Amino acid sequence: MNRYLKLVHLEVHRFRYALFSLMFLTAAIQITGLVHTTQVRVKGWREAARLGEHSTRNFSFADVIGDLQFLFAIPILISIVVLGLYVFLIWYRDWIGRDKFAYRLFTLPTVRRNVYMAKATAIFVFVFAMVSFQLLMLLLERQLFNWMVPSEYRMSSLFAEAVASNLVFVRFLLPLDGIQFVVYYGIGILAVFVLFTAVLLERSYRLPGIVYAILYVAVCGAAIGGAVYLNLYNYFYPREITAIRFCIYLMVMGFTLTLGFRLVSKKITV
Amino acid sequence: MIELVRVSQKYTYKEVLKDVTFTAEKGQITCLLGLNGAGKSTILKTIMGLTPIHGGSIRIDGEEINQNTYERVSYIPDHLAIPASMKLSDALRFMEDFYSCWNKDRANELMRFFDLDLDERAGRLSKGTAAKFNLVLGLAQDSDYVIMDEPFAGIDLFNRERIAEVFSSELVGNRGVLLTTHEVKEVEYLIDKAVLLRDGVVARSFECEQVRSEESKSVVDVMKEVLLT
Amino acid sequence: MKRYMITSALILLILASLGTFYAYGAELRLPEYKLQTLEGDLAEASKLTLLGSYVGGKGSYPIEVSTSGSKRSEQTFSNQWMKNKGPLHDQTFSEFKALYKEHPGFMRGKMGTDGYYSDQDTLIFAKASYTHSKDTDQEGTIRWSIDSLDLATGKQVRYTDELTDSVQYTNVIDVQKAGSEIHVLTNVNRVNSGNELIDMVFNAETGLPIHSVQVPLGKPSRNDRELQIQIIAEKKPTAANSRVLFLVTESSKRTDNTVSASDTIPTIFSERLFEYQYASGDVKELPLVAGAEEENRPGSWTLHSLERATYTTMHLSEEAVTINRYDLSTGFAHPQVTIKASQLGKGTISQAQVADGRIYLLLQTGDYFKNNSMPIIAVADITDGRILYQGTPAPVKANGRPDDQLDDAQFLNMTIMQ
Repeated sequence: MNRYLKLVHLEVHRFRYALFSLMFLTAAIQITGLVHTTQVRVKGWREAARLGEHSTRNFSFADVIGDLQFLFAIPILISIVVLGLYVFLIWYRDWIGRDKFAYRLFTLPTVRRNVYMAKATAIFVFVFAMVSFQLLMLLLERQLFNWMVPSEYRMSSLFAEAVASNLVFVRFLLPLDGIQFVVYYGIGILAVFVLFTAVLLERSYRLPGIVYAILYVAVCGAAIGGAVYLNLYNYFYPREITAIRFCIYLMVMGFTLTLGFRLVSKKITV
Repeated sequence: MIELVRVSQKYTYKEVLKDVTFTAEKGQITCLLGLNGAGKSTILKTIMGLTPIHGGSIRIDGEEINQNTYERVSYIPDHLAIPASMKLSDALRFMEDFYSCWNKDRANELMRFFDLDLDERAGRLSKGTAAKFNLVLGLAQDSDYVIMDEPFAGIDLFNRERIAEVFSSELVGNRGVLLTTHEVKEVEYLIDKAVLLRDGVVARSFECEQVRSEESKSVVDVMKEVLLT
Repeated sequence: MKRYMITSALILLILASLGTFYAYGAELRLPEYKLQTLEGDLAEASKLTLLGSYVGGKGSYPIEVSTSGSKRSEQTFSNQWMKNKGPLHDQTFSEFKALYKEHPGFMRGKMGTDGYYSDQDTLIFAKASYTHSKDTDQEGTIRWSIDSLDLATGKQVRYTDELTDSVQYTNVIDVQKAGSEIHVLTNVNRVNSGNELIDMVFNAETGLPIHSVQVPLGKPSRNDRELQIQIIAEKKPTAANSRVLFLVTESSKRTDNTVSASDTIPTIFSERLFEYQYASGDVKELPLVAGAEEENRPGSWTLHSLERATYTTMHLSEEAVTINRYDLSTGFAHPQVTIKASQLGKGTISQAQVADGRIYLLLQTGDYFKNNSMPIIAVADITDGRILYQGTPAPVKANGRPDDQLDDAQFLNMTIMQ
């Protein structure tokens, strides 16, 4: 196995307990919320049936997910914050602490960009693992819902409907449109690279590096944000706008990686 | 041959190294000597590419530093750079994974020599044991050169002797060794060549044997002469 | 490989779950519908599309249904990013699709269907915009820009003209060519004094402005009355027409501080139809809308349209549609056609449109929220009112939706592709 993949594994391995904790937290909060809300719903329906009231519409798994907007968003937001901080910590943890692992990491017989890419890949693995875990949880939660709700109160719903009924899912985490997923996560990946390169600017030039890093993030952020909000529909056709955006992203990506690789292999100080 | 030619380094406008020039030969033990802050550790870091240089050149057997350098030169920093949660066996596994020059038999031999426990975690080692394990990680590589930063710092007398023993043994063999130390007296009989540093400048570099025979001075004598005047 | 289990397992989890989700699980499938014939020839409905929403399950999704089936009509992210459509692409006039295809460069950034004109020689787009002056007391500038494309040579020229004035906004209503003149009929809206119509005339050869005609619209006969102007220009955006019509309605003035509901519906005193000839600049009153005001009861309304020399009025109520057509070049009045909702069995008329010699009707057959009723559409011949087709949308495929959600669709609008 090549050293890049070994480094990816090393980084994943170092974060495994944090990742499992996030998964556990997500599962715990979501299942608790789901069980509680479903119980309340079923009780309400039973009560209505006992009183002979006719309810207009049964309820579906998607309805319950729709009721749990906030509760489902909490573990997701926590995970985003934790992973967001880890984008920085994945570097700084190698400088701080008794082991100062950076000494070992940067004297491994491999090109330094592998270290950079492995750390980035590890972050992406964590993000996608959390998203995938959320999908698995939804499957599990749907099964749980089906067990809890008697079929006479239950309305069937599509899996996509359940995803669509939570705004955090449909707007950010799991957009139903595949292209949208690629674009969102593509921009996310780009943002991670930009932050990595900013960290390396600081690690290479220390105090003045902080200023360079802030400027660099601001410029890249403006370019990426500008491309997102690019409103040229009055002049360009949609596919041309897409091409322009794509070029901007590619330029930012190219520049960020070039600079990042250069810093990590030539300028960084341990 | 590790060769530094007019190497200079700045850290936010302060010159840390100025025109540092010296060589460390294969089969010899070269010692960087100097007071605290003279730039001894920085020189080792520049050789390992852990901090950039702003002038001059560093060559190892005629080659500039590249990814293969790390297979040819093993680096033993002044602390054990292994995550605290890692077991020693995992750390050996890690080294074996990444270094194609890793010599498993030598590692086992060194582990036995220093009497180290494979199941212990890196973070729980005492300072002396950590230093020994650090030596294991560096010496178990089939490298041409070994670079050591303060291998004796903070280590008790008994262990110091045990470490010093290694230098004259097969475990170092015909490799070139470049080390920094404060404890020059302890190693004086081991070293072939000394490079005296003062404020980032090479004040004097000399063959120990030559100084002993021609000037009848010990390394410490020369050190006092050069650094304290 | 056991050592790398965590990483391998995570990567497998990612590939399997995201792969499965985006391959099979992410599609929010809706039931499929199709226009089904109740009576007549299905081909008559081929240009018709019903617009509505699917409201079964959770949420509501815009859909459209035609004789060829149904689809979701919202602009998806992929569509926005990947398709090569112009801003007027989805207009009901299919001519724009062809124009985008043939002249993508010229069509770039030209919004607003009213600014277009084309004949066999030229394609013209005119725009009128108003820029406020930085100093609020100063007058701003109305700026006309006319882009003209010579279809034979591919040469593109731009003419401009400016006028200093103080107005609220301006917009182009119609563009026509008369001989060697280009006429840009512009609506100018002023604060507190209603609209003005200005015909800006340019020399088609040189691009120089020749003159401008302020189209006389008349004045209210009393101080407490005001004029409402409805302009009836050629219906097909790019087609040539030598005239434009305007309907002037005199009504009681709407006061700003109206409180009671009865005050908000102004009393109509007169309704007069005028014709403006681009070539001569003549304005002539047409004796055609007598009796229109008495038909303007609540719950009914009249739509006017002009297509070449034919002026059509369509009076619409829940019970019936009445169509009058006049040939303005000969003065000939076609026989009046009336279609009653009762002719069609059930439902009330909610929309009607005239296009290409046909009358299209949309009938709602009941309260959607009570019985999930599907609407009926009908197509009739404009010359004699004969019903050629009747149909209704019906689910044809459940797509994983439960049976009781199949009819959870409401269709409230229709469009006719022309």
